[in-house]
Amino acid sequence: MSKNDKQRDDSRPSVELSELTLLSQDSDIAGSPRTRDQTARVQTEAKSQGKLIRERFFRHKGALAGITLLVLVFVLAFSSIGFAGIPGWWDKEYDVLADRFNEGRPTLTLWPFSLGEHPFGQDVLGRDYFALTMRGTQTSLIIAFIVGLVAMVIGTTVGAIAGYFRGWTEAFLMRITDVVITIPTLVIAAAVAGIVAKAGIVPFALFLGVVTWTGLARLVRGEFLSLREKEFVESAKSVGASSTRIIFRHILPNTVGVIIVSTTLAISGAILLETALSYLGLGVSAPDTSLGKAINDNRSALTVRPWLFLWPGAFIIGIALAVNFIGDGLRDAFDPKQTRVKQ
Amino acid sequence: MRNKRTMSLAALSIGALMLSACGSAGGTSDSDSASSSGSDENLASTITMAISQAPTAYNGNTAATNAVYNTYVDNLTSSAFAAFAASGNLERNEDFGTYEKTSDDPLTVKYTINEDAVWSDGTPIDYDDVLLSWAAMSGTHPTGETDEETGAEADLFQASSTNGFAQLKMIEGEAGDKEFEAVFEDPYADWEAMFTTGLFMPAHIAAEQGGLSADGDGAELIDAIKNDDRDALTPVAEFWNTGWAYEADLPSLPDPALLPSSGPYKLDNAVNGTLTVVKNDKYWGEEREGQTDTMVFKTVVDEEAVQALQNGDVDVIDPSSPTVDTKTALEQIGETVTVDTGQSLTFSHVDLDQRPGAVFEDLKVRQAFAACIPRADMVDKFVTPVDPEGSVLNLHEYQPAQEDYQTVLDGAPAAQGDGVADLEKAKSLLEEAGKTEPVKVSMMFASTSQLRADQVALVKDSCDQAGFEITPQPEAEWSAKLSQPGAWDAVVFGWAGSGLVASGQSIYVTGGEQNFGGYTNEKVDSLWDDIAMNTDAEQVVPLKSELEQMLAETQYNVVLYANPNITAYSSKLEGVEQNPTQTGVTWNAYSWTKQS
Amino acid sequence: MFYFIAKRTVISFFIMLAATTLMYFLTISSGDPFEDLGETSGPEKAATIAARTAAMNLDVAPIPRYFLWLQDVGHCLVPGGISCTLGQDRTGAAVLPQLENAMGSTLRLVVVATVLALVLGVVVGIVTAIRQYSTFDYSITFVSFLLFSLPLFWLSTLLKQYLAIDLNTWLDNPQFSYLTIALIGVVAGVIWAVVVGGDRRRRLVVFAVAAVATALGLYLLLVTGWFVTPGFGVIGMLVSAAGIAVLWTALLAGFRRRRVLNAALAAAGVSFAGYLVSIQLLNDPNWLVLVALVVVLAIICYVVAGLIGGPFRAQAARIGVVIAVSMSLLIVVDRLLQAYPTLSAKAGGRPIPTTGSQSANLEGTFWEINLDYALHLILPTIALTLISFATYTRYTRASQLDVMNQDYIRTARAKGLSERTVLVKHAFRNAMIPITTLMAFDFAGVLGGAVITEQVFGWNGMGKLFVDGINAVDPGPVMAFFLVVGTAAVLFNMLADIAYAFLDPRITLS
Repeated sequence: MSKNDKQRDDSRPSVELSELTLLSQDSDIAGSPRTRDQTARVQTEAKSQGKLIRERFFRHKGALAGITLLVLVFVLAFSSIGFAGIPGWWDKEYDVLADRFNEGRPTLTLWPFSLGEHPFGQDVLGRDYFALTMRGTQTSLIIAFIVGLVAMVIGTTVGAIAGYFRGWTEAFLMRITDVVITIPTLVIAAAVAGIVAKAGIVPFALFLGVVTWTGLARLVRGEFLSLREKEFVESAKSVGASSTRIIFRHILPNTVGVIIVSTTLAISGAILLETALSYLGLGVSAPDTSLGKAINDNRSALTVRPWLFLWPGAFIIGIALAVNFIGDGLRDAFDPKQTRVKQ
Repeated sequence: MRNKRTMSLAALSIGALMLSACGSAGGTSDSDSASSSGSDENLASTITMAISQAPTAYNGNTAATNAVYNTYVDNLTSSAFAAFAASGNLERNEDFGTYEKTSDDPLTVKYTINEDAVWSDGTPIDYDDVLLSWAAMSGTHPTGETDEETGAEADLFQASSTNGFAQLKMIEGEAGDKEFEAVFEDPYADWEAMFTTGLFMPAHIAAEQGGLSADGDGAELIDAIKNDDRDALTPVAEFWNTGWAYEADLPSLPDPALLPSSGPYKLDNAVNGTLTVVKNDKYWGEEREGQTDTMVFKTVVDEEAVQALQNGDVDVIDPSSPTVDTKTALEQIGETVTVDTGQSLTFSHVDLDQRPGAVFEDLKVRQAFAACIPRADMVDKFVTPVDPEGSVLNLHEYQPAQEDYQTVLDGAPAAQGDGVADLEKAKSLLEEAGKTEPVKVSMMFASTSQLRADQVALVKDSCDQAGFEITPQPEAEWSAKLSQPGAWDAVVFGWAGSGLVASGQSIYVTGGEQNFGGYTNEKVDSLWDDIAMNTDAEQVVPLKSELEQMLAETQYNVVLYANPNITAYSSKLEGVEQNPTQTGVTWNAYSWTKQS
Repeated sequence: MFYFIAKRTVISFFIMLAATTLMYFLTISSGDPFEDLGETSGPEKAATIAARTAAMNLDVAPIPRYFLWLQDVGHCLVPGGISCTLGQDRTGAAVLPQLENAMGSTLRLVVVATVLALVLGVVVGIVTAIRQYSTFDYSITFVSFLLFSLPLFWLSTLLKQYLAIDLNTWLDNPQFSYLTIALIGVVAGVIWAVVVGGDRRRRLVVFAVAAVATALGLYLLLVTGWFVTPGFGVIGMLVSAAGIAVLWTALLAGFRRRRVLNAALAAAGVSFAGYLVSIQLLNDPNWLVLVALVVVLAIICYVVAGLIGGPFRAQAARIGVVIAVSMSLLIVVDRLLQAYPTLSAKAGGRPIPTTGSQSANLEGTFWEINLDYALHLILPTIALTLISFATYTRYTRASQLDVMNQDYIRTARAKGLSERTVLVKHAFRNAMIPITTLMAFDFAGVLGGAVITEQVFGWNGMGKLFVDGINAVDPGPVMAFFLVVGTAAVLFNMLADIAYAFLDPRITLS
C-alpha cells in the first residue's frame, strides 16, 4: 500500500537542492548525524550523538507510548500461550475445543479487574478466544517483522549499490525498482499470495517482503546519492579507503535514520496487508490463524458476538498504531530539523 | 490545571441543559403513518431480491451457464411442464401444459402445450422450440473434433448435461404442433424432471440469429434438425451456446428482442449487476401470473446480505451457507424482517480414500472412523442453532427435507443412528483391524472455508482419542485435488442434492467420475443400473432403501448433515416460501407481494 | 521540456512492458485455472475445459501465451486495423468492454476519494503545521495515525452498520433530545476551541460561541424539518454568498485593499443574482447546460469584479472567478439537497445504500440521478478518504514545517509582509511540491485499496475484475486491471515530475 511511498521521493531532481538547504541548516546544529565523520571533533562526540538521538526519541511522548504498547503486546502474545513448544502462563490453547460457557461471552471484567475463564470469550467450537487472538497476534507480528526485515535488507542493498556505484548499475537496479513499484503492493501481494500462502507463514512473509522493498530502495538511494558527494566521503576516498569500507563505515551509518523509519512503515503496512489478503481469501489458512483471518472469519458476528470481531481488530490497530508512533518518534529523533521548529 | 475553569463551566452548562433535557427537537409529523396503514390495495410495485452472483446468461442450459443464479431468474422468465416445489418434489405447471405417460415399454410420454402459450414477443410456443431443445441437449451433433485428453467427442451444442435427452429419440412432429410425444430408447428414471423450467429457449430467435427464416413456425430450423443439416445448424448452435450470454457482471442486457420470455415476467434491463424483470403482458396463464409489477435482482455477496436487508437495499435474501451469526443477526433486526429456516438438499460429508493400499482400504478402519466422528455434535454446533429442526443425516440419496427420507431410512437399518461419537466402538474396531499404532489421516478441506476447518477440528478432537491421528490439510485447490489418488486420505466437502433419482450414479458406481475414494461394490453397481432404468416412482423407494443399506454396510463414506437454509425477507412481503432444491427461493416469486 | 517528456514516455513504456511481464507470469502461476471443475462430471466438464482452453490459449506454452496477450494489447495501440479486445477472459468474452464498464464506477470512486482526501488533508495539514505542538496538532497526529492503522474492510463493515443503517433509521424520523443537542454543542465547542487555540480566555470565548451556535443551529435545523427537506433556501444562499466573498478575499488578498473586497462582494452579488435566475433554468438540466451556465457566470463575475477592482483589476477579477465557481458549486449542492425528499421516498425512506453503485430503474431528474450517485458514493468514499486523508495530513504538515523553517520565509517575515502573504504566497506554494509526488503514489494506492472497498460495498468495478480474475487464475481481466493501474502510476509519476518543474522554478527538466 501507499504507506511506504509517502516518503519524499529522493530520486527527484529537486532532491539535491533540498539536501543542500538541509546541509546549510545542519551547520548550525551541533551533532547533526551528517557531520559525524567530518572532523576529529566528531570522534569524541560520536557517543553523544547516539545519546542525543535516544534523548530526542524518549522525549517524544507518542513514540514512548508506542514502544511501551508494542512491547506489551509482544510480551503478552508470546508469554501467554508460549511459542515454539515453550509453554506460557495461560492455561488454555488456541486449538483445543471445549464446552461453551455462557454462550461464549467474554469473562473479562475491568472493575474489579478479573480475567475469568475466557477473557475474550469463546468461538463457536468453544476455543478460548484469548488464546486464539494471542496466536493470531504472534502470526501477524511474525509476518510483519519478517516483511519489515526482508524489505529493509533488500531495499537497503539495492538502494546502497545503486546510489553509490551509479552508472549502469544504478540504471539497472532503479529500473527494476520502477517496474515493481508500478504494481500496487496489494495487487502484487495478492498474486504472490496465491502461490505461497499454503507454504506456511514464514515463506509467505518472506515473499511479501520480496515485493515491498521498493519504496525503501528509492529512499536509501537518494540518501547515498547526496552523501557520496560529501567532503568526508571525498577525504575517505583520498586516503584510499575501499568502497566496502566507505559504504559500511561512512555512508551507511548516516542513512540509518531513513532506513529505520521506512522499516517501521513497512512493518505497519505489512500488518494491514496481511489483513487485506485474508479478506480476499489469500492469507493464512486454518487451522492456523492470524489477526486478519480472525476478523474476516467473524465479519458476520459484528452485531451478534462483537467480541469476536472487535478484539482482533483492536490488536491490529494497536500494533499498527504503536509502530507508526515509533516511526514518527524515530523520524524526529534522527532528523534534527523537526525538533528545531518550535519557536 | 489550566483547563479547570473551562471544564467546570462546561459541566455547569451541561447541567443546566440537563434540566431541560426531557424533550426533544425535530422528528417527522405522523401524518404519513395514516397512508401506510392502508388496505391490501396499497402494494409496492417493486420487490428487490439479493443474489450472490450476477446472472451470466439467458440460456442456462449450456456447460458454461448452468448455475443457480441463472435459475433464480429463469424461475420468473421461463416456464415448462413441471418445476420443483417447496416440498422438494416436482409439481406440474398446468399453465404451461399437460403431460401423461402413455407407455412403459418403450417409455413414452405425451405432452400438450397450452393453446395460448406464447413467447413474450407474441410467437407461439410450439414444436420448433421443443425440437431445438432436444437437438441441443441430446448430444447427437458431434463436431468430429475429439478432446485429446478425454477422447470425448465435442458436440455442436455445448449442453451442460445430456442425461435423459441422450436416451430420447428425436421428437416427431410438424411446424406449429402444440402436441408431441417423447419416446425413449432406454427407460430413464428422471423423465419427469427433463421438461422443466428453463429448458425451452425461443427457437425462432435462434433460427433468425443463425441465419434461418423463422417464418412458418420455424419450418426451416425444423427441416435442418430433422435432416441433420450441419451447415445450417452450426450458426444456430453457436448462437445457442453464446448468443444468450450476458457480459461479465451484467453491466447491461443484450437487445431485449433477443430475450423473449415464456414465464410470468420478462427481462427488462440490467445496470451494473442489477437485473430487472417486469410483468410479461403476453403471459397467458392465471395460476402463475405475476402479482408485483417489477422484480429486481441485485448482486450482493452473501457476507454483505444481512446488512443490505437490514438497510432495505433488498427485500429478500437467501445466503448460501448461513451460520449461527447470520441467524442471530437477522433476528436482532427485529420485526421488520421475517426469518425462515429449514434444510436444504445440500449436505456435508467426509469421503474416504479406500483404494488398495490407502488408509481406509479396510472396512473396519472406515467404520471406526465413522464411529468416532461426532456427527451429533456437529449438528448441535452448526445446524440446530440455525434450524432447530435439523438433525444428523443418515442417508446419501435423500435428505430430511424430502418426504421419502424417513421411509427410505426405515428400510435401511444399517444406516440408522444418532450420530453420537462412540469412541469405545471406534477403538475396538481399530483393534480388530489390527491397528496398534495411531492411524494417520490427512484430512483435506477448502482452505477458504472456516466452517470446513471447524468440522475438521471437531473430527480431530474426537478421533484422536480413538486411535486416529488427524492432520488437517487445508487446500486452496482442493477441488482439483479431489480426483488425484493419494492427494488426501479423507476429505470433507458438500454435495448439492438434486431431488432427482438417477443423478447420483457417478458418485457411487465403480469407476464413477465423482467416486473420488475409489469405492467399488458390485451390488451397488447393479442396483444403480436398476434405479437409473426404472421409470416407476413407486419402485424407487425400495430400490434406494436397498442401496442405502449397502452403502451403510460397506461404509461408502460418512455423511454428516444436511446444511441449514435461511431465507430472510422484509416483513412487508407476503408469499415467500423456502425451497430446499436448487431451484431456489424464487420458485414462487410470481406470487410475492409487498405492502408499500 | 519536450525532450524530457519524450524520454520519460519511452522509459515508462518499457517499465510498463516489464511490469506486465512480471504480473502476467505471477498471475498464471498463482493457481490452477480448472480448479473449480473438480467436483463436476460428464460432458459439462469436458466442454468447459475445451472452451476454457481455447479462450485462454492454455494449449500454448506460457511464454508464447504472454506474447499472444501482448499482441491483443498491441491491437489497441494501433489505430484502425484489427479490433481491440485486450484478449479474452476464461469464458471467451472480450475483456475490453468489461474494463470499460468497470472503469466508470471505479474512477468515480477513486477520483472523488482522492480529491476529498487531498483537500481535507492539505487544509488540516497546514493548520497543524501552523499550530505545531498544540493540542490540535497532537489530536490530529493521533487521529491520522489511528486512521493509518485501520484495516480497510474492518472499518467498512463498521461504517455500514453504524453509519448507514443507523443514520438511515435516524433520517426516517430525525430528532434529537435536547440533551443530545447540548452534548453535540459541547463537543463542537471543544473542537473549535482546540482548533483556534490562543490563551485561556480566548479559548473560553471560542468554546462558548461555538457550542451555543452549533446547538442553536442544530435545534433550528431540526425544528424546521431541515433533515426532511434539506436545502439552503434563498436566505441561506445570500448569507453564503457574502461569506464566500469575505473568505476568499481574506485568503487571497487581505482586507487592506478595499476595492478588492468591494469587487468580491459585487461578484458575490452577481452570483446570487445568477442563483435567482437559475432557479427556473436548472429544474432538470444536463451537464452541458450546467457547465455552460458556470462559464457564463464566471465570465460575468470576471468582468464585473475587474471593473470594480480598479487599480487591482487582475487580482479582483481572479477573485471574482473563484467566487463564481464557489457559488456554482454551492448552487449545485443546494439543488442536490432539494432533490433529496423525492429521492428518499423513491428509495423507500432509506436513502443511504450499503451496496451497489447506483439504483436500478431510477427515473428522475438530473438532480435525483446525481444525488443517487452521490449517496451510493458516501460510504466507500468515506472509507477510502479517511485512510488517504491521514497520509496527506502528515505529509502536508511535514512539508509545510520544512518550508516554514527556510530562510526565505524568515526573510519574508522580516520584510514585514503580513502573515497571510507569507503563508499563502511563499510557504504554501513550496510546501505543495512534495505533495504532487505523494499524489502520484497515493492515486495508485487508492486504486489498490478500491479492490477491498468495491468488494465490501458490492461495486462492480475494476477491483472486482481483479479479484475475480485472480481467484479464477484468469490473466485477461487481471492484466486489464493492471494496465489501467500501472499506466496511472507511471503517468502520475511523470505528471508529478512536470508539476515539480512548474511549481519550483529552480528545477529544469532535461
